[in-house]
Amino acid sequence: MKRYLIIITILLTYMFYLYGNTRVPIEEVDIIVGFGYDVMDKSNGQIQYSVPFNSYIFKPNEEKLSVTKTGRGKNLTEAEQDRDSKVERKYISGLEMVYVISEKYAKMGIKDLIDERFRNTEANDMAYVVVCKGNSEDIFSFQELGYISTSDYIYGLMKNIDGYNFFSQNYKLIDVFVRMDSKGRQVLLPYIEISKNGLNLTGLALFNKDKMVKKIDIKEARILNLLREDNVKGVLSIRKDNKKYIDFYAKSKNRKVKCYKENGKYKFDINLTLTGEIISNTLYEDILSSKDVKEKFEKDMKQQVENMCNEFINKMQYQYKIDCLELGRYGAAEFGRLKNVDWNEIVSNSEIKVNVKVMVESEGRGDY
Amino acid sequence: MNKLSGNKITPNEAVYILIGIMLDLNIVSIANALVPIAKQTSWISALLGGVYPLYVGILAVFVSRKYPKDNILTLSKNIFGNIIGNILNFLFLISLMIYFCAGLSEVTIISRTYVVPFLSSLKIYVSILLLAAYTASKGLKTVSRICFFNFIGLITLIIISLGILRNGSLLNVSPVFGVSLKKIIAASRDSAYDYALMETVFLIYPLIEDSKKIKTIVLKSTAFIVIVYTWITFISIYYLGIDIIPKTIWAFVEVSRDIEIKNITNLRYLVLFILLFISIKSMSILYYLSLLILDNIKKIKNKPIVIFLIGILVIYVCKNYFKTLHDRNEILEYAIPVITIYNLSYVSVISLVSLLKKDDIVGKKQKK
Repeated sequence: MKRYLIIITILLTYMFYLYGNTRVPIEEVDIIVGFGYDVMDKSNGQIQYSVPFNSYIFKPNEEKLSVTKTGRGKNLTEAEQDRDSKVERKYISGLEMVYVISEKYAKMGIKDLIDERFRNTEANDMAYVVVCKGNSEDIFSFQELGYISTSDYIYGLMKNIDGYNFFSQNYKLIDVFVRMDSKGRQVLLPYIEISKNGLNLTGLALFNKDKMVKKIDIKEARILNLLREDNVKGVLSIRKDNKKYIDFYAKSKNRKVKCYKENGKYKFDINLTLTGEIISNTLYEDILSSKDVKEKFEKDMKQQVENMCNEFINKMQYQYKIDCLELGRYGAAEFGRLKNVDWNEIVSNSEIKVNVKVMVESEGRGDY
Repeated sequence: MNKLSGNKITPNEAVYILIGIMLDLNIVSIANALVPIAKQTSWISALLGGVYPLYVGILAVFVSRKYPKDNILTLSKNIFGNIIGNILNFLFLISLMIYFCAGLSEVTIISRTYVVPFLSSLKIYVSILLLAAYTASKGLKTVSRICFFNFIGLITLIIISLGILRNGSLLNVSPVFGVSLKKIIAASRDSAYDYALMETVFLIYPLIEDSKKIKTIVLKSTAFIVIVYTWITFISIYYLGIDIIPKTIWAFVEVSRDIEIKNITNLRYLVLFILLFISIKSMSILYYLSLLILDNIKKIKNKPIVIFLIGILVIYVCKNYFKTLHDRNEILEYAIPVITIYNLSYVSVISLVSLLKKDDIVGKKQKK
């Protein structure tokens, strides 16, 4: 008797707790996999926000489809309200894989969108954030062969970004949260666009606080990543001509930055250690047997990387004028973070030295 | 599982209870309380704040040596007489009740934010209080068993947070001595809320089997709690940085987001589960202790009715005065200094008087 009483009480409590909540079977639910953020110019000179999302739809015959729904409005929330009026099924967020922000939106500032995501406890902080050329709506409606949705494709692209170009994995939403308003830190996001051969990564978007400042191409992005990130992998090569070149698959390890003051001026030393293997070589003869040749290669490579880095730093200091290497962070850690200082300005006017150390660890299985 | 027998608790169980009573949900927001004042050195403030429980604990050691069988309620009645003593004890009860309501409202706000936004606060109050009341009605032995599981949960939480070491940076915590000592001490005063309720050791020491071991009990529990708070503050700053922590409400919940463990898709829910458990445990202890004090003031004849009345009272106060975060913080801002000063002086005066005038009190007792 007592047992039945307990069971009945538990059931009643359960019903009491769920009273008033409508529930829908999972087959009738759409799953959002990607959010987009666009702005457009209207004919009367005003700005219109447009927020598409990309979602999965499950059909009864086990078919999976993806659709894109868009809403438009005067601001972010109004656009979301408009979008909601076009959705005929219940949808759940929280499983999104990517946030695609159009270049124009990014240039106007992403503070509102980041605030909205930060408040939302259902937001997936581990989703990747990317900046795209044109509109994110076009990106979502672009179908890549073999993928249910473009969001899956972009997610895969981001997941494997760190193979050959010194990219890190720090392009998630939570990384934007941590970086955007911190002193001496800058947001950096991958830049994708639709080209002739499909949707691909074409560079990096540099941000100053919440506003995108500039897009750099993948060649520059490689050097920027090398200077900025630790524990990244990529290929560096010396080319004489099309047939004579050497490729070095390098891992950057133990990146160290020193910040000190001399005569009232800030100075930064960036020490990079590159270890790795030679993956192809038609330039140096006898690199396997002769130690001198190997050392000559290491010296040449060091020289080349340092030149590349200095070139980039020059450009950063005189053209971009933002601290995209996050050197201000080291300065703040050294000289205190209470002072109200603009690290972009300080880094642009300070002396930055790069020291590279190249070490060949292996040459593969032989030198053909 | 061993059968629970006897009314007395072992020294180990006492350690778990003391840890349980000091450690409430405030572990998730301790960094938020300290960082605005002490910046990146907040973890030192958290460390210094440990002086408060240590002082109270040491007083308890001396008092328990002289009067191993009397708790502070009896001592206060013996010193000040029945009426004033009872009034003082009742004020002490009110301070416990304020912590009770503050804790209950915080767990409700957190779970309504992160876990069950569709439930009304009243439903959450009722469900948590039901569990707490049931545990409390079973006696101190059961409460101590819950505290033991809570201890294991806490260790799990700390092990989980070790995973974030890979993602954060020491740069966020440096420069270590960039903040003036005055601010560090000012912030450590603010940690009084987190370290509060060590005073309850005066209530439970007569119930410990081996009252000579009270010194080790106090030292062990204080050391553990200091380590936990320091670590949590440190890891929050280490990962989020001092510019982002003030933007969050519960910093530690955000910290747990970026840890990837195989087969666990969303670690935040595991963390929240442990946090809910921690909170229910605190409610149980406070429930038990209020019963204990009430029983001392006036012998309780009908326990279920008193438990029910306490529950109704707590729900009433929570619903009317602690409903939102703003209300809660506003009340606590005024209440915490008053409570802390009252509790400290209550404990100190009674200890000092009873230590100095030892023969008098014993004499009084024998006459009765």
